[in-house]
Amino acid sequence: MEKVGVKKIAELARITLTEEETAKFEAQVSEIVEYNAAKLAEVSDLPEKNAEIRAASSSLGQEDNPRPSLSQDSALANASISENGFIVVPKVLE
Amino acid sequence: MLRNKELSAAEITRAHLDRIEKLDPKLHAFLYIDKQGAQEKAEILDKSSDFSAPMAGVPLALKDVITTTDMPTTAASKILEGYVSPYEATVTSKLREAGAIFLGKTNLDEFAMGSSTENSGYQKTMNPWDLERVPGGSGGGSATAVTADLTVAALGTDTGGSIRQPAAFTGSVGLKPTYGLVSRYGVIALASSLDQVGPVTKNVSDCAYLLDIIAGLDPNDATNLMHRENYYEGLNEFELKGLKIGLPKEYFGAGINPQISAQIKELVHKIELAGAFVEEVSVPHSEEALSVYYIILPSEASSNLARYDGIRYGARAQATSVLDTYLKTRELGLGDEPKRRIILGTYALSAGYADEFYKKAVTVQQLIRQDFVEAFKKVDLMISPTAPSVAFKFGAASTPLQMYMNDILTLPINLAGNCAISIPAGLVDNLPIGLQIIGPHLGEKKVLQLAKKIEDFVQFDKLGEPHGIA
Repeated sequence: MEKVGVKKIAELARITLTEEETAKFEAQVSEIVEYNAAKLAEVSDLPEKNAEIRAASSSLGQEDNPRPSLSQDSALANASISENGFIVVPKVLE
Repeated sequence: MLRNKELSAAEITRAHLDRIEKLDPKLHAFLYIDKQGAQEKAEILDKSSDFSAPMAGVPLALKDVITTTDMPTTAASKILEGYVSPYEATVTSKLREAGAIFLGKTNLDEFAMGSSTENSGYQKTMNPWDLERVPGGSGGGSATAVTADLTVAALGTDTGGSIRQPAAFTGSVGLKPTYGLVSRYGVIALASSLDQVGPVTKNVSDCAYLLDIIAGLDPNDATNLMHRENYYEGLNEFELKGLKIGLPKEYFGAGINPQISAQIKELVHKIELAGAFVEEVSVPHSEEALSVYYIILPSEASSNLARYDGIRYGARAQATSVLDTYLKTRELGLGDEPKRRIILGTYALSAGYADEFYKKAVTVQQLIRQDFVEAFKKVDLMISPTAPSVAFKFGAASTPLQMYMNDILTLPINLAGNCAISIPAGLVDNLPIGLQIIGPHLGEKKVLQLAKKIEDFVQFDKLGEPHGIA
């Protein structure tokens, strides 16, 4: 089984890795993935088709009525940089 | 005690805070101690002279994934350093309304990922039985705090054993309720289809009492079962005669310390002599449970942890673009285990692999569920050891996979959604071991009743005191 391309995957997950981390995680993640693949392959009574992934059904619903929620102040309280009711971020568009 | 005016709430709170001051520098169970807040609330309660609320004046600790508005919540991660939630978890509200006094937030493996609390982004927690050994994880802080009497009881969360395994390692009681029984609203999510909040206590009575308060309807949690039952009432009204107990053969196998298996079986024999029927059962797909878990959990976690990007809350790294902000914040703020599991999950869900890994894992998960359903047609409850070993020394696990093996006896129950408790069953090599009782869906009442009976047999208090803090 090919080694897991950890650098690309980490990028997708918005994590940068150092060279050292890349090597370490490649070895560890590959070991775990191989173990998992081998174990799943052992299942003798696997159904023909994969189970349908269905969201858990819930009988809990609410009327779509607006009601008080977080105040702007409390919503912004944990943002490291905020100004005039906005969260400040680096430029998105050039 | 409080209602009889033998002691005031302030005195009880003070006594616990004093003990925390004395012992926590050695144990490191707490990430945050609310000295002032706890004292103040206790004094207010005393002044009111109204101790009618069910938890009035009882000091509690909360695992630091349970949000509070008056104390920070960090999930033991640097990425949430200093984060104070603008709203509190439902379980926090329920306990506050019941009059509990929160002493502080307890340590855990970062984002609840781990089996030893060694992955905490802040500090290691010591096992009160031996300061060179881990208290288990991810909820080592709560378990240590309860065992060392730093708090009367605590709340933890259990995704694959994070309440039960530390309970086993520290000689405390820990319950993972049926999935959906206790609200997850306001609890920092690890794997949303597996997480449950549960009590960590010194004895089974306290566990049942706490469950009464935290279980039940919450419209804010769409996975809530809206189930209401009395767990504390009738705890002692339980007949062993005629009870059918199953011993899952896969949980007494080669990977388990034979002394632990033997002691558990000895206790089971005592129950048999008291009139219960004991038979061997099988939950065959438990063999694959570890792999199923370590595909499903990382997949869900990779999604749940995507929100930690430094923008709206938490630590933010300096960068010149939004993308770089995400990259740097997560690089610096997340520890190895979260990174590893995010990578595992992203991989398992990625195009080309989702069928082979994620969907297959969910398919096998149904088989595991079915195994438990079938077994509970034959027996009322199941018993097994909680953990394959006693508490190990710091640094003992040499690979991540080795660390993951600590949960082989607990994680299948999370995958099946059933309930299970760990209670102290004795000592092996002078360290506590746990007995796990597994119940059917919403079978907490019987689980607690049997646990109470076994607790009476074991008399764990008489077996010894945690040597690390003697």
